[in-house]
Amino acid sequence: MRSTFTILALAISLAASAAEMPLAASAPAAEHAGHASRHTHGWTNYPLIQRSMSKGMDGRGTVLMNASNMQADHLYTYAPSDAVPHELELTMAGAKLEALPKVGNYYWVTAREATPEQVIVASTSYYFSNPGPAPTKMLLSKKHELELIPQPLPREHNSYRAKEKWLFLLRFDGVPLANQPLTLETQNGSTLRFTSDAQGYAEVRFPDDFKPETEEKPVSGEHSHGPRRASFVLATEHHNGSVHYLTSFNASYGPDAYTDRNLALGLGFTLLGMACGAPLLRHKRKASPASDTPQTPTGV
Amino acid sequence: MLKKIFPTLGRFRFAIQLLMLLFTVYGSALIGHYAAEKVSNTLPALSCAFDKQNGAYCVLVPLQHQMHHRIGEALVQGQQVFNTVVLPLFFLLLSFFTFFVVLNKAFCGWICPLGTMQELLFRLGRRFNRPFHRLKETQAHKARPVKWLMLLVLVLGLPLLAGMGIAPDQVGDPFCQVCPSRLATTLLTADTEQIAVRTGHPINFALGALGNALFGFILIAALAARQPFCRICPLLSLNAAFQKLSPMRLSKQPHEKCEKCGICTKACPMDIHEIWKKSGHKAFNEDCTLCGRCAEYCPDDGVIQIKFFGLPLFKSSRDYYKARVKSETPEGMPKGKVIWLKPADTKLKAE
Ligand code: SF4
Ligand code: SF4
Ligand code: SF4
Repeated sequence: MRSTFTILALAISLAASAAEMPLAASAPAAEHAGHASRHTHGWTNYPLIQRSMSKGMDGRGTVLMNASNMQADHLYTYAPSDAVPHELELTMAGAKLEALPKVGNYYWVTAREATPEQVIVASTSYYFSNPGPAPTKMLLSKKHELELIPQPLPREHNSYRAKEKWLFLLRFDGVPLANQPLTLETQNGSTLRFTSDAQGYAEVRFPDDFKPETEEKPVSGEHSHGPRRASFVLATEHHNGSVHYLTSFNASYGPDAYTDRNLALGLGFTLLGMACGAPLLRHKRKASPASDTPQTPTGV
Repeated sequence: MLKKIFPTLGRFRFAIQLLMLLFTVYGSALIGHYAAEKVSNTLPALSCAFDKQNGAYCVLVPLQHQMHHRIGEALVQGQQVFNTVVLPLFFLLLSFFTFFVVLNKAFCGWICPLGTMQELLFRLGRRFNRPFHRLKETQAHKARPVKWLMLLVLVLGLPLLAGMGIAPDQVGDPFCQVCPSRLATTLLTADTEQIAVRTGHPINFALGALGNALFGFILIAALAARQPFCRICPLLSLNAAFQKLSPMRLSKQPHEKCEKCGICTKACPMDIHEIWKKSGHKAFNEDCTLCGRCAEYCPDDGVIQIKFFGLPLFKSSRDYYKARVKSETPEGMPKGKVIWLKPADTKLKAE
């Protein structure tokens, strides 16, 4: 239901149990995807990792994920407390990502397609309600050559939203890439370009491109459910010698904070409450001490 | 040295409250961004999870969530109840309790940002010589069930019914939707999102409007009455449900002078008459926030004590009382310091 569930959704995002939400999948094969690409998505040609479209196979603490717009045989998952990734075999149904006890809430998931000419890496994050360390170190550990690292990821109760600015670190072989271009494509049809600063950080502002009349369904792979969500992908490309590197990060974002909210009305109701309390501030003409409240201390 | 900086328990508590206010509202700058870095996700105080800069989350958000998404849904779907319901709830309560057991309701009197903000507003009200309203004994008794109702209906009942599909999904977190701490703490971080009322669904709109009006009322009422929201706070009742299990206690010895005195009740921000009229475990009332003011203002040696595992952390004493009333009346009116506005009617001051 596309009502203003913001608070509710933020609260329930604790469980990271988003409903199954398939995306349109009738797109032509992506230009850079291999012939055996399992899934494609119409709104972008960049590689993606998302919740699998096979319904009913997720359980609490498990999720099926799949890579699209690329040819990958495995998913690699990094939990905050793990130094080494878990390798998960990708089948047609997807790969089953499981929350491991005490390893932390935020999982980093990547897929890789490498040939002598090009290396394609897709990445995303998945949130399990699962106590453990913060993902700060894990995010910064070197995983591939060209990397696009959220700095930070939205924490519990938060997610990417339109009009918000979020930082991403761009690196090659662990070294920050200055003036590196970065492209954002959204399921709502926007394409935006950003450039990293001298330290390799790019500030990405999410576009306000939700159309009021459309009933976008929440996308898969995200921990917030309830309000409208749409997918986005950030991608960056780099040449090193004769090898072309393409790395993407995809997740979802929601409408801006004030969608289905009214500040004037909110202030109005607050003022109404204040007005109701105002009589308490007036001194009464006559005051008689309450009989059952203690009188001025005696015997002290 | 320490005595010079904190000559009274009140001053010491005030310093802790200010520190905790900064920590609970802005603490993420200090300890880190992620939920995993928060001091607790089950803090027994209204440290709001909607505040994007806070340092700990309040226990009511996972409690409502578990009622809604674990217990309610599992009951309906007949899932493996033990793994999905009992264990998570047990761990939630255990993690709440590990914090709670040490400090007991001092979470209210010393740590809760909303408790502190209400106290600050009351101090401001004294500076501006606003009237002082307190609850009579009968009124205080009548108000007490409200906080239990808030807990049973808004934190436990409605989320459970929403999870079972009996109540609409919009009441999955009804307390958060009316919670004044959500508005107070987010406004302190200059975030106006939460004060903007939700308009997408009539239920959310109604709850949001109610929450904003309640917040506005508390802002004003706190200038003239002590801790107005605490009287109906569901976290006070949740804490009260466990207060007997903690080794941190308020204790009172029977004393023959008490009957004619009652300064402890005058000093009590929760208008607890039991601290005056009762002794033993009955004096440690369900509304107590362990602020310690009753012990500070009791003019007799050792009658009221705050104890931890039976060891007194603070006890009332005549000398302390004499020094204390020189700086502030039991009702919280500062003495001998700057009074910004001239008292309008000196007769009313004695009320
Ligand atoms: S809205 Fe209130 S109850 Fe909900 S998380 Fe914030 S402080 Fe806790
Ligand atoms: S009773 Fe008051 S101090 Fe305690 S949690 Fe509620 S608002 Fe905070
Ligand atoms: S009884 Fe004492 S410790 Fe408890 S709230 Fe009242 S003054 Fe504070």
